[in-house]
Amino acid sequence: MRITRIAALLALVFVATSAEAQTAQEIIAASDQVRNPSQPFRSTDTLTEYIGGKPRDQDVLAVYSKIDPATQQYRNLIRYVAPPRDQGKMVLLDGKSLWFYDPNSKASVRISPQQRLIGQASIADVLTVNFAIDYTGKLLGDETIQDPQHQNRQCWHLDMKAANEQTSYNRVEYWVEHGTNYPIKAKFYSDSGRLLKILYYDGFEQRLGRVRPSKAIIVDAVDTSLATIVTFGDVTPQEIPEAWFQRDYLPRLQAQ
Amino acid sequence: MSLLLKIAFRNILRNRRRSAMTGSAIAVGALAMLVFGAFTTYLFASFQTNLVQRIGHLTVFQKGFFLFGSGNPTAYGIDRYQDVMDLIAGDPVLKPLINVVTPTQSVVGIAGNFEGENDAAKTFIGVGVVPADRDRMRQWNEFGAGRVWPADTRFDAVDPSVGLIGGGIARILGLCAPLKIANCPSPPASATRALVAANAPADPEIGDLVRRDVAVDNPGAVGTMPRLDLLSATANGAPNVVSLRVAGLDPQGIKELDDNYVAMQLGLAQQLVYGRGEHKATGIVIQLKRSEDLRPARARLTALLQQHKLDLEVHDFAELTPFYTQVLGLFGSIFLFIAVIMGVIVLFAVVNTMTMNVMERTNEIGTVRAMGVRRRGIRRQFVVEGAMLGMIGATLGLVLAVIVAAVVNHAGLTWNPPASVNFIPLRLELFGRPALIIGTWLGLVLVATIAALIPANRAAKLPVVDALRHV
Amino acid sequence: MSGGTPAPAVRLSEVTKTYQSGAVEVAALRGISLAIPVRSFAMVVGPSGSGKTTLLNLVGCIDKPSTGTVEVCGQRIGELSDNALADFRARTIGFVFQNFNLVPVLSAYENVEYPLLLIGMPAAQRCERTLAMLDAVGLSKQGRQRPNELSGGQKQRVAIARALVKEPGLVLADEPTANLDSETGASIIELMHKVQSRFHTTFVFSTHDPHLMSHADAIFTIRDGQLVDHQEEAAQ
Repeated sequence: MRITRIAALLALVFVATSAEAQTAQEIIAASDQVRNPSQPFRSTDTLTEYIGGKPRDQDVLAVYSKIDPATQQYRNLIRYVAPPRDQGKMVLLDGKSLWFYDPNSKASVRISPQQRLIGQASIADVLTVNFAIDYTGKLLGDETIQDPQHQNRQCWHLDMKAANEQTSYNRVEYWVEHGTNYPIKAKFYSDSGRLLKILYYDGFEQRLGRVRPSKAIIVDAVDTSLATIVTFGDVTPQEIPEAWFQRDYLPRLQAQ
Repeated sequence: MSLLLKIAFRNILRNRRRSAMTGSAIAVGALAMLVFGAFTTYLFASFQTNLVQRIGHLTVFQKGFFLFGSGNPTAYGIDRYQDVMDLIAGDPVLKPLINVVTPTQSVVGIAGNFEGENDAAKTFIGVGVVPADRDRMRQWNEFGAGRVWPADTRFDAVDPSVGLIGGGIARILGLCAPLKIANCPSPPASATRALVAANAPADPEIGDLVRRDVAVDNPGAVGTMPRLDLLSATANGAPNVVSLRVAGLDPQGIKELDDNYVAMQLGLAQQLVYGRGEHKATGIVIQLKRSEDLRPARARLTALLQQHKLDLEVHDFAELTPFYTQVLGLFGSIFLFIAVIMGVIVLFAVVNTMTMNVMERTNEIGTVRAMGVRRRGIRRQFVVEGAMLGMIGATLGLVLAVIVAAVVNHAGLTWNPPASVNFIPLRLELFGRPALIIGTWLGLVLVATIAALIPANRAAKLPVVDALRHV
Repeated sequence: MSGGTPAPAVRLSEVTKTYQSGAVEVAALRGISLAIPVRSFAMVVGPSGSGKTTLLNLVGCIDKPSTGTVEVCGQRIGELSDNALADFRARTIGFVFQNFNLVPVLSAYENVEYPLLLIGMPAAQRCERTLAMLDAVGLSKQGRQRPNELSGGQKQRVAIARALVKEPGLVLADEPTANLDSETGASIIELMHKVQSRFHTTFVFSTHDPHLMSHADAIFTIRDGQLVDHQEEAAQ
């Protein structure tokens, strides 16, 4: 009798804990689904930079995204639409490599990680990531936090650790809403344990088959006067040829 | 032989004024060469001391670092550097020669002062060191030609985030006031901020979002030490940031370096560069007790590393500081130039003097030739006179140089060598290099001797009859 | 003495000497043949420009003939190299010059000692000879003095002492009494006679001094590069 009760208790604990571990990773995967369409797509994004709270630059980008079946991570081809001075410039983001192409010189140059520390390139890592692949999550508990509209959201509070040495951020704190699995907030930490960036998702609306965030607010936690707001507009599915994600192909894409 | 010397010496005395003039010219030549040579000897000793205090005698790097590493130090960390250090320090041949063995880590990145209203960022080139070893290295003073530094208490072993920065980078990052630097203007208002429309309203939403999290997580300045954020990409390409508390300045002599220099403790540098990966070091610095041991130590070190099949290379301080070798070469050339000019002057003076001597003693030459002196005896006589003049002049010059050196060394003069920020005593190391004294003395005597050969030959070739006819 | 069994101290056979004076060739001696008896007081007389000095230069072995042979103390000097000639002079010939020609930086003693150093005489012997010679010319007390501290007569005596100190076979004296007053000149001649008889040296003079000429054993007269007269007298 006693043995079966103990066994049942143990089984319960086992199920509970394994269910918990599954749940954390599942939650993360679900929130990835909210953010990232599974099919290749094209969107027109508007990037606004703020200094000391005041808007400075605004860029409009045509972004073509497709998942790399090998890594399950997104590859992005970005073409500048506005402002006129940057029109035609392109950025190719493929895993860890970032290439910048200038139509005037017809030269593509690789931007090293050192060069991506500040400026627009520094937000590439936080926007186009599939957390479930690169991070191992642990559920810390429940927390109610305010979204950018000052609405309270009941969230799972998750602690994600980098799953391998190549992952950009050593640790990410993540808040995913109960039930909807909407990603609400993420805090990105460096190897040294310092907070680098804070990311808020906002503007949830229907697009490409389900409700997705249409806006991301990224705050620089080191230089606190810097912030960027990215608005995802005009999201449409599109077949994107593999060739588009080759660096050598960039000059030919200009014709488009 | 002694007759030769007797006659030579007495003839020198006989033409007192002429000999004095020529002897003085030789003495001044010797004085110039010896004083400049003594200054150069001292300069090298103090320059070398400065270098050896800062970067030791030898440094062990990952293969390729010296040529390609400055742009990308993270790729050239030495695996298990502690084991390599133990190997070097424990080697029976090297152990008695070594004064300090210490690891260093090169870092490049962006230093930012984002505290409060500040918004300044600057690329930096930094190094992580072990402060206790750094203090020991700065005691090195084999030649007594450098400045001996007391222990630098600003590096606090208790707080591993404390470091020093160059004067230029401090100025650019707007740390003049917090660090209380003299003659240090504040940077102009940030250019990027100027681009923002001055009258545009600030978006309160963003300000609110910032305030929610940042104040909690970001460390502020502690006490009176200003804080900098050091950003860099780790060896794996991940962005990383650490806090550096600036305890003060470590000004560098060269502006380019002074505008970029950050010195931190080794642990902080490793944390920034390697993050969650294995912490390595880009260099193992070895300071020897004596510079004379450099070559054998290097040979042994290279052999030792090869023996253990380690993918490492060794460089000495001269290779790492091409400026040093260039300065050595430059001063060597200048010395040679001075020596040649002095030599030419001495040559002309002695030729002139000896030609006059020969002319005046033509009759005497004829007489002694008639008496049976051979041609070579005549030549010898005048060559000896020239040599003797050279010896007297050179010795006089040496005596003067000793006096000048003694006066300068006791005058307590100081000077600021190039590529340095400190004033060090100005000395003339006359006896530091015996080769200088011997070389100068012998060189000038040789020039005087050769100079005398020309008129001596002419004297020897004089037909006896013609010489006797001369009044 | 007549030229009989003892060979002459000096013998010239058909000796000529020509100089290059600018573009012109000057014949200083034109075919002279003479013999100077050994141990004689021989004098060469002649006007200036007669070749007298040239003749003495040849006899003194400080010049070589253009043609002909010169034999001094049994040595043909024409076949000697420059160094060999110098060595020969050092051993065999003493010179007395009209202007004394002492080495100004050497003392009287050192001047007299000089020729002995040239022939490599050991120090003790040198010292003995030099002091003896200084004594013989009456200058024992002036040994340390430099030539510029001596009178003309004293200087000439030092010169003679120097010429004789090595007991040479031949002494050449060019106008030895020309710069001396008659009294000093007389004492010099007396000294030379003393030396001649003591050391059996051959003296060859060039002179105008009649007093000196009155002591001659042989007189050779030169004019225009040729021997025009030769007189020999019996030894006194």
